[in-house]
Amino acid sequence: MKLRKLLPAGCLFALASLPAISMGQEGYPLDGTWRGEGGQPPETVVVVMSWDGATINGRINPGRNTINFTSAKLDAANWQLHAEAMSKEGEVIVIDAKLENIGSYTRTLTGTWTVDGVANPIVLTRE
Amino acid sequence: MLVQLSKTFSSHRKLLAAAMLLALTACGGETTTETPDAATTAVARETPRYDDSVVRFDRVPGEQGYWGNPSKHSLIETGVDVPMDEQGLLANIADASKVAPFMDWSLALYQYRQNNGLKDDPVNVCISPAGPRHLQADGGFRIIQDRNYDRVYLMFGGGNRNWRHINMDGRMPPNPDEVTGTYYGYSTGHWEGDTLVVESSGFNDRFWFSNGGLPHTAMLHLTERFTRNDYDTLTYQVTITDPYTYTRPWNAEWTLDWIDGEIEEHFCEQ
Repeated sequence: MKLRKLLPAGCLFALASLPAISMGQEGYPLDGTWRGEGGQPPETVVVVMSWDGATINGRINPGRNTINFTSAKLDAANWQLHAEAMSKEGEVIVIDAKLENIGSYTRTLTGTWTVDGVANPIVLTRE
Repeated sequence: MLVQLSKTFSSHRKLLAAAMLLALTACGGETTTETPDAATTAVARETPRYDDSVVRFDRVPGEQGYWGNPSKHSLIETGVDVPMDEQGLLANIADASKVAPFMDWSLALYQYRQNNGLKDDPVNVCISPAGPRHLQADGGFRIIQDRNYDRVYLMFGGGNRNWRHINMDGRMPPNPDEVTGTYYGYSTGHWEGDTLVVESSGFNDRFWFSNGGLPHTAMLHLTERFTRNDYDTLTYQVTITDPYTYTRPWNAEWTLDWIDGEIEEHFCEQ
């Protein structure tokens, strides 16, 4: 009963909080954790990126099977990311994606996820 | 009847105003014989000090007042002069690269923010201005020296009516790797002659430190110099160091006026 009463108030609070969350904008636009669906069949992919003033450091699926970026470059004029990595099995992974909705905390990277020459569309959303 | 009285009062007021204007014009004619230097000397009041001659940045006992009316309304590198409005919007976007020594990404982000009319400014959702921007915000600020506890407080009328504190007890700043970044960072201060020098780091990157949308990262470090040149003038100089955002450290500077009165109550509301 109490929960029923609290639910509408909770929803209102969540809605009221939404603009503050969605308008948050931070320093280097690629910094953070990104999640999306990639590959065929689609699998959840997590990418963590951080800028150190010279290099975009990146990790794919952090954990026991982390794959580190071997190179990454942001063409800031077009907000286009090109990143490369190699899996433990020797597969070359290439991410080519455009950064969109930059003003939002939950900005997106939209493009292709290529493994050993096979490209699939991907959308990564910043969390 | 009331209307008639009002009209009579109004015509009397106009006559009075005209007479005052004539008198002022006559007086003005006499003062033009003074040299500008002599006039300045006559007006400038000495910087107030404590008994031990340390500069007093706030009110003398019994006085009201605060710092406001900044001579610049946005952050821009010293020596650069490009037109922008009071919100920091450039008159010509082609001037963007002159404002600060940007890296490619930070210039692109600055241009993006400028081109969309600063609509993503966190201030729009009541996230406080911070860093140098707070010293340009409407509402003014006070610099309160707490000499018992070796601290200086900056109390702001603008933004969210917040305060910063500056540790003056000689402590070292914390290890950057152990700091969780905050909006106002961690500040330590010392004196260089009559100038209060404040070193600040440990910022987060969730605010805009200038109203025009200059980017920064958590590596931001500020060196601020406060100098009370005379009773009514404060010079603020800041060196911005952020090796993740700018290609080199850069400086900005403006002056502020001592304003008689109290800081007005202001709270951010969405």
